Amino acid sequence: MKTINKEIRSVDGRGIMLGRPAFTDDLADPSSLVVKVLRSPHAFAKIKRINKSKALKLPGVEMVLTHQDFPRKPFTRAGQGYPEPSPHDKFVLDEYVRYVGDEVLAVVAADEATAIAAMEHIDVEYEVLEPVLNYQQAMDHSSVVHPEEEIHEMFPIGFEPKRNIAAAYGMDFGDLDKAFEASDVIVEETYTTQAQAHVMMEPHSVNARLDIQNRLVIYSSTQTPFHVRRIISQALDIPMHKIRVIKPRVGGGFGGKQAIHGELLVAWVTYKTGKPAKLTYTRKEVFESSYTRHPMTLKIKLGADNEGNLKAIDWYVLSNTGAYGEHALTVFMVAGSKVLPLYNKVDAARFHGHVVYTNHTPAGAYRGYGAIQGNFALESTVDTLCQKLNIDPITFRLKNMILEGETSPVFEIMGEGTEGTAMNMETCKLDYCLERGLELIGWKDKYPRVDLGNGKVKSVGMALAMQGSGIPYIDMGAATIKLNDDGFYNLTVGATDIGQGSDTILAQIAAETLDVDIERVVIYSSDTDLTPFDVGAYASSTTFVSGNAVYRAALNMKDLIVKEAANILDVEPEQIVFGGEIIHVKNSDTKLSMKDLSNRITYNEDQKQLTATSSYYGTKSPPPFMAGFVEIDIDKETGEIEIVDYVSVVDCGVTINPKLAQGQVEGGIVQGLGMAHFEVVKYSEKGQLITNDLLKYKIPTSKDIPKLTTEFAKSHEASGPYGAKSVGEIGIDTPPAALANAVYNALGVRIKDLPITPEKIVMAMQYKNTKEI
Amino acid sequence: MKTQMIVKASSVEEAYELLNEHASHTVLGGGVWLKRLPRKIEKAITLDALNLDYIKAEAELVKIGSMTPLQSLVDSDLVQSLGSEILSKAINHVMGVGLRNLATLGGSVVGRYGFSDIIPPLLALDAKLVFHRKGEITLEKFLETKGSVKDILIEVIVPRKKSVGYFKKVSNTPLDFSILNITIVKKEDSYCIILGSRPGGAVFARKAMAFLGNKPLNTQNINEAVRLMEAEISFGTNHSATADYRHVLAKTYVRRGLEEVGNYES
Amino acid sequence: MKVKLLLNGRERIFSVHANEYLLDTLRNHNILSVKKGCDASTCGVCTVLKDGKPILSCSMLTARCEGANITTVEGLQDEVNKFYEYFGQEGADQCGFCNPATALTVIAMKKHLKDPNPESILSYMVGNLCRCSGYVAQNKAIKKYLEDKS
Repeated sequence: MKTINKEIRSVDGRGIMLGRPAFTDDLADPSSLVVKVLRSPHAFAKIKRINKSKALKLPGVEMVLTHQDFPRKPFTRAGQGYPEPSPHDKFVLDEYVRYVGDEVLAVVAADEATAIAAMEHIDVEYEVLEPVLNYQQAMDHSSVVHPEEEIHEMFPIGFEPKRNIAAAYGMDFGDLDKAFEASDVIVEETYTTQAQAHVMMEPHSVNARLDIQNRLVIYSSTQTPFHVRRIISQALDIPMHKIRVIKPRVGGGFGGKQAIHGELLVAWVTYKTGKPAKLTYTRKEVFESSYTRHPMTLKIKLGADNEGNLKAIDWYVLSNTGAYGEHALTVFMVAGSKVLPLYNKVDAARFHGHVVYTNHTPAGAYRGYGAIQGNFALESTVDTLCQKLNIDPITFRLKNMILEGETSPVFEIMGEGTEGTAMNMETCKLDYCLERGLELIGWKDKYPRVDLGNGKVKSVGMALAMQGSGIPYIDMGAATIKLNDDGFYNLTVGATDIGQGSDTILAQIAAETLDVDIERVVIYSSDTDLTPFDVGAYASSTTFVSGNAVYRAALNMKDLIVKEAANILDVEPEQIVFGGEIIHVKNSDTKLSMKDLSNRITYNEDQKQLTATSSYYGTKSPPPFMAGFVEIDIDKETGEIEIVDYVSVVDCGVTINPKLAQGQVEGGIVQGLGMAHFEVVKYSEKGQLITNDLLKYKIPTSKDIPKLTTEFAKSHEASGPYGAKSVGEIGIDTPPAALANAVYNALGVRIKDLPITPEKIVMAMQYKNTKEI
Repeated sequence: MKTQMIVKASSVEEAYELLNEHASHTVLGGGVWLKRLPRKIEKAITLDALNLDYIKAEAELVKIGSMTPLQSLVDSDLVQSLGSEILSKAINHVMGVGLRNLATLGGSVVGRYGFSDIIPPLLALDAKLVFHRKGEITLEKFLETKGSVKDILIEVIVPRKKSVGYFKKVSNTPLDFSILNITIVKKEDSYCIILGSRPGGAVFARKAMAFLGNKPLNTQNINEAVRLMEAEISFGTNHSATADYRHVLAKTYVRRGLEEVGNYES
Repeated sequence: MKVKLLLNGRERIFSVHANEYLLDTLRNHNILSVKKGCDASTCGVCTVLKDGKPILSCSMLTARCEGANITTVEGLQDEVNKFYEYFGQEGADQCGFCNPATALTVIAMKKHLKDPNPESILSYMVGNLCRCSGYVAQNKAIKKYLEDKS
């Protein structure tokens, strides 16, 4: 291997640091009209009247768009496979506003100051309605968040809007009653997980212009350019062939840009006026008016026999999707489908629940996508169960967890809103990950706790996790490779680099297959006119799905070159040895350089353009696995936690680029620690977002993270490109449960609602002490 | 906030006159909070041309110009020498360097922010403020005043007395406001104990201070001081913590602070 | 009003409103390395050097910069290249939206801190938020760059 599993630098990092214009707002036409959205001050209201006449008279105001200006067509903003498993419950603008920050109308003006001034001249009269602000009481609430008749599901997802239910699902296997009867110990616990904000550093941004063919060219900070094109076409009745979506560099996504933001308004303005337009969210809009992680309540019951065999899992989940149902069903299902198979030896299991509407900021896709919520509940309860069984939690996990070559019935039953796909774990180094992690964290010297004598206790806690590698039979990625004169290649992919480094690793896969240095493969991605299709950056799919497409395209290109070389050298193709820059004839001194070959077919003889396109969809989704361990020093009096180290041992197959893979894991760990420890989206009693800026919503800083220890298991997934699985999400899943388990190991208190703040720990200890007295 | 006009004052007197010309006129410190002000400002007056960025040593005092950026205080050997570094260390906890190079000492003091991590150590070090009209006033007295400040702060004076200090900021992340801050200074013949960001403004634990006098910091005296502090000081609840938790923090860190200051002595 | 700046070594005169912030002035004049992340002095991606010191351009009124020497990565390409050698080597770059600001802060820190230690480095860098990297690889790169005395 020349390029794979080697320390190759990212293809774009230097240029970005040097400040080259690269992000969406950097590329807006300087003469763009500015689109500003007037947002609802009410959690739930019906718009009675809008007076925009004063605003329209202001110089520089181009137009004011209200719900009357748009086709009345429900759609979903979720960027997912089509037809989407999310309900079509959103209009570009509507006569109802469903959360504080929902879109009332859009002002279009020559510049931002004018647009803001114009908003102050618009009177909106609302009929304020009673909002649904507590998701525990949302189902069958007297207020219906979505009373409109046109909304619908694309296929059965349990959609019952009149009951405030966006989606529902249930599955079971085995005889649950019998399995619990056969259990000597049963534990039943309820956990709650909070909304989390993505806080990608680049706010959502979009701009549009018309090109010389009168087509709409849209630059968008998105994870899903092809889905954006489709949704714009469908929602605005603009023919798809009139739309080109370009994704420039994206300043972080984490799922938060896996749904439409300002694209529809900006596309409409440019399409109607012919003028360039742009809309970049303020940080307040990013917090209030984009998406959050789905808050969930997870009620879980585990049964095991005295020998420590896990027999049964019964699980009910209530998920809060907020005002709109983007990713409602699928995030909730992943809480089961990418967690339950960890313990595949159970006799019976049930997973069921509801996803409800409330008048809060919509929930949407967020790295981990349900798995982090489910993992917190299951991996916390496993430790509680072990304590009741008086069995070491490591021993218990080694006995019950999924191993290489095994399967789980869950894979076949549960898919992405539909049935799943049966598969065996061709690679699963979970046993290695666990054992190695114990060594790295120094478990035997620190478990369960060491009193440090200065008012602090050192402890360790751990959790196992799995994710997936794309969605089988749904996620498709494609790649095209073009040979140029001088013998270098263009690689075009639909795959979407949002900072995770997919341009780099896909170029590596092509370079390895074509046996050239990475500089000889020039990658260009995510342009709906110029690159082949790809679903986009989500579901941990890019390395596995798009990577396989690139690998196949490169193999095809190699075949084409061999055929050309055989023709030029007048031998059979079987005689040709492809050596990257040099082509040999077997058992002969005859050589041909790629430079000569490409120049010849470009300029001199039998001229032609060589291109190879291939695409890939998974017929399975090999999960990456990991064991995560946290070491903390915790203050016995104040509950303050110092994260000393976080050890991750990950099986993601072969790492195409070890440093970038490490970055994916560590970035996920730190986001997961933020959720585990202090990040929380808070609302006032009236439904206003309190945490709407970075003074009130805190994310981890460099001072919070002294040490991360990350290793990869030796693993080779035969179905992946060069043995790779995916790695984008797996890092985020373990921190909540690992931290909860470490806190329990330190102080004997079990925190079941995230985040695990020092205050909750102190209050739990006080409660425990009063009970013990 | 919208600023209609920026005026660079050419003298302190001019700044004073401009400030008092209209209720909406405001003096800018570093201007860090300006964007968050909801009201419209007709004239924003800057002191940028008045050479108020300095840290000067005199025999028994350190004089710090009101326009001195916070980072200069962090870096200054003179400021570090005050109260065994509590002031410079407390300021070093304020956000990142990009903000500390903007925000000024004057702005941080005149704002009388309840969450301030700077006011408590200044209070404990007996800082005085020098205003253009009002002249010299103790920081303690200034904090008792209400309403907008219609005078120009010229400098902050901190006595160079021998003292040992303790400062603790409790927060979720280093960029967060304090959930509570605890400042303790051992002076020649007394102790000073201050609790800030309760979330209300900084207050002295006067009963504990009176009790301690210049008693030795043994366990018995520390326990009594903590008990008196708990009886005297009230805490509130806001979105970052409850009153109960602030109480736990206060009693823990006042005890630890006194122990640390005591250990430093011996 | 007119404001004269020394921007990346070139004297420039900008016509600005009293209410205009340096971040917007720079972006409006095609200095696009400077990013708008929070626009409220909490994230650090708008950092520029004013007279050699890192400041948050989102909170600095352009009118107050008369005569100031303002530097962005556009004016420090060689030094940024040098820092990137370590950054790229550690695989510390992900989306890169915060990286020009990080580079400026680190370059200023190298001049400012005489005897950097892990604590003083973190106190200097703590205001530069990054949501992608988890910081550890960045910190390794920063340490190596500070040790490079060439």
